Amino acid sequence: MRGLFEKDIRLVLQKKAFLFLIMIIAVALSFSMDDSFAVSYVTMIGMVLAITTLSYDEYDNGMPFLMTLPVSRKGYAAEKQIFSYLILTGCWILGMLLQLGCFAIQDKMPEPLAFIESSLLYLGIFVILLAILIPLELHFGMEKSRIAMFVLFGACFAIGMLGTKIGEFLHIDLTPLIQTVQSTPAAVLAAIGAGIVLFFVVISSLITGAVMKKKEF
Amino acid sequence: MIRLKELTKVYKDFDLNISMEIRPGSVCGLIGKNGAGKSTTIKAILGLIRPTSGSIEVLGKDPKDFTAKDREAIGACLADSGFSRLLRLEDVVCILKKLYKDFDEAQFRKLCKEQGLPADKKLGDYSTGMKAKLRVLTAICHKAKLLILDEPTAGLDVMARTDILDMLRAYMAEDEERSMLISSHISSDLEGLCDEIYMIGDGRLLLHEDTDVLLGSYGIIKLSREDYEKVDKSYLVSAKKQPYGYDCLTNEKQFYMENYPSAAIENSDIDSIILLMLGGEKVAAGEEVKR
Repeated sequence: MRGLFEKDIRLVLQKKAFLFLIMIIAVALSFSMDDSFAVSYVTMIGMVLAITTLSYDEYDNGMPFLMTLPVSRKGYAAEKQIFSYLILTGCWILGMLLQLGCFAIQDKMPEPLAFIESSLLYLGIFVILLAILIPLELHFGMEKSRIAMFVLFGACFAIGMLGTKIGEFLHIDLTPLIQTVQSTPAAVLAAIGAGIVLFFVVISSLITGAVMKKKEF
Repeated sequence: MIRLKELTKVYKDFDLNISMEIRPGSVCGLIGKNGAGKSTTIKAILGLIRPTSGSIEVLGKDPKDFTAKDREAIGACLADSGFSRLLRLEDVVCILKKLYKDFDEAQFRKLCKEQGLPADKKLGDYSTGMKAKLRVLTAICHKAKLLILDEPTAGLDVMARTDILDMLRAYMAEDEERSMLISSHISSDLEGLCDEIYMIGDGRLLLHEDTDVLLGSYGIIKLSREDYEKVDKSYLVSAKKQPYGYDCLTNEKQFYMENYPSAAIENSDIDSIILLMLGGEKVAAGEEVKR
């Protein structure tokens, strides 16, 4: 697995100039955008970089060769998951540092707890997105995974809309639920959020392992 | 080293059905025209595809149960697959160092230099020959017991092909226990390298023979229609109709030289054997094609 990490790090480092450009954009836009722009933007780029290493493996029919190296299919799936979340977390930390730097320049330091809460929310959202994208990319490949992603998110949107319409039709009032959430202590909400994120990560790693086990090259 | 027992792989438009065995210390050639099933066989051996039925044993294990450690004993080279085009040679060295416990960095660097592989270029900018050489060097740089090479010389000029074959010969000469399975549709590459040849066509094994026997005992007899009717067909493997009569492939050239001294008998190379095996018809009274 160490060899695969080495390969992925070296592939990501090919994008040094791109990363530097992203940091400049993040800093520049942070001055005019909302309080967590750099965090969300750089974390999203981290997600893109993680997915890009999967595309590079597949590009030029590289996967059959990788599977002849001393790497088990399970090991490859595990490496992809671990590397992707590490890259995402690294970019998230970088985004937070850039954001804090921008705050310092503007001399408007945020309330620490609120900043950490919003940053953690972004990390959680992008971890869930990555957890969905990794098995999709491995199963469908570079091209088809984009279509699968649009179909999946379209289906989620449609289910949401349908749920809202049904709720309206049945006169279900969500206000008590919203009030309950608002009155729940932040620590409990954070624990629930962490649980949801963990659920996605575990399911994603199980699906990724199963996809790799069945895949033919 | 490798044992395939009635291995089948069924696709929509193609099916493979093959049995073969590669013993320790032997160099086996897998030959056949494009689309014969060479790459499918190699992919099955490497565990890249799942067989529909039959069994595969490589180094005593089913490839689907291979651990990362098991794979260290195998050096593989695929025709159209390698490291990412974005990487450089230095990146490859660092990756291989972490992948293989027995990676011989000094030897790898030395061979790369000898073969003129540039260190500063991205692999995507390498020529076809350079990419092929790097694939082979990657397979032979970690003291693998078993080399499995799919068309390592395809699309290369004669110089690059010779370089690659020389590297393989040198590698095999270092340790008598090493084995190699190499596929190619360029028969001359295999003639000088392999101890035995498996010839496949349309997913079936057509012939398995020692290279020496193939080149020494096999021959092509050119016969008129009348002579073809009269000739003893006991040692004719296949025959192909020609305007003048028949071209017959025999696995006992000497028998016909002694008993039919006036017949035109030519030595056969692997290409002409392939042509007659694939283009000719099996002769009813001939011996079993398989050894």
